[in-house]
Amino acid sequence: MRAVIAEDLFLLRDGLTRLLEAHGVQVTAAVDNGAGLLAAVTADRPDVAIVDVRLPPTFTDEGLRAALVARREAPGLPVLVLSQYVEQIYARELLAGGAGGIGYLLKDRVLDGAQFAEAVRRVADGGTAMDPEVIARLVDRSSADGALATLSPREREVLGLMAEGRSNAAIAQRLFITERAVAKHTASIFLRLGLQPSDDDNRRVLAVLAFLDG
Amino acid sequence: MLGPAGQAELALRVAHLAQTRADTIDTGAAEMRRIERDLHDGAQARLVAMGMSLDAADQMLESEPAAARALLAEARESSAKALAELRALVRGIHPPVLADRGLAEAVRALALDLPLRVHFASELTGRPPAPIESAAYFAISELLANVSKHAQTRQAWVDLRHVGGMLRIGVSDDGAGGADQRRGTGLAGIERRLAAFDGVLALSSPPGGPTVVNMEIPCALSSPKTFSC
Repeated sequence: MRAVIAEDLFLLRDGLTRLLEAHGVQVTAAVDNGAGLLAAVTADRPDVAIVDVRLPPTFTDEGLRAALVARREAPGLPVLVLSQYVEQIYARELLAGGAGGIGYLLKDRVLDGAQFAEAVRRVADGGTAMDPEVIARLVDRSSADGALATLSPREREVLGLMAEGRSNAAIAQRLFITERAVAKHTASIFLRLGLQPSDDDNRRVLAVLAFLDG
Repeated sequence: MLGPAGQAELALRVAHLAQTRADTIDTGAAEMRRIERDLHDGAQARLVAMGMSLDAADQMLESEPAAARALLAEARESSAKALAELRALVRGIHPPVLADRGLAEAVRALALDLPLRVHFASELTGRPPAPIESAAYFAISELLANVSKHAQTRQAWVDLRHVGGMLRIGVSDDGAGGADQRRGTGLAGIERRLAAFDGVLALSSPPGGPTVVNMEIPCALSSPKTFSC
């Protein structure tokens, strides 16, 4: 797998490059600004672009904007956006296209290299990787409303992991239960929330996120 | 030259400025103390703990690799907690979306995190100066927090406009009413902070509701920011 990184802080750019290479991802370019990202994406056609939200010259949400532009210029380009903080409003903008291949994670998540590499792969494969903090806040906000309150604690746990974009196999591993048990939980969740069940992981994520977003 | 009426007005103005300046300095100093304490008890302490875990792990690396591994996990945990605490602290000082996109988007982002349905309208065509934007944001944030805590309703309305050289902010709800400016420090605190910019707050909250808070802060808007992409 080939990745392009856009991160303005040298320490993090360097750390990310090493982390990804240690997990078998080839970093074709590591740049420090949005224009560099667009150039690298056009030149290298990577499998995934990993982009910091804050980039020069404005140090606001330049990276997010550059990521969205890159996705327009290279349609379907999987993009993983990293940030020191996560905001639902930005998660919405990233997901607005309704297509897969989107990740939005706190920078803290690189502390667990294996999990992070797994998220990068998932996004590169067209899946979704939403930060648990985004999901937790969505769930908190929705849980006062009817349908979520009918879920068991375990089902809520499964719902959260599903919303992050994890497959049944990954959820099973995480919760130390069988895939069959996960499938039973997800069927029950979809029934209670009145959602159309789907075997496609990504369509499933988007349905759950749309539900939580109310 | 000023007549007697003009002089009296000027004296009042000077007294008002002296008072609001003192309040602003007090508020600023109290904020700095809070930040210092949060850093001292939070992130700083975590980083010390992390350094100690790493040092201990280093010493055990060969003799007790399993214990060293446990200490490394502990260090990683400390760094994650320190990051979370710093993030919460930064959010309290200057929320990221406010820095990135200004008041209207920051209020929209705030509303997404509250257990309230916030009907939000903004007619702002530019950005107020940063300190005013920040004061306005925290005022709205505190008022919406009050709604979700006390008003016994799940709905609120916020509107932002700039009319006649004034930033006008309305925050209202259809809840229980009975909010009192003199009770509790919340509203008085907002008033004090707005006063630093010659801003004012008016509250109407009869028992049974609705509660309507209107704020006005004199300021100019900068021209809308244009983005290249």
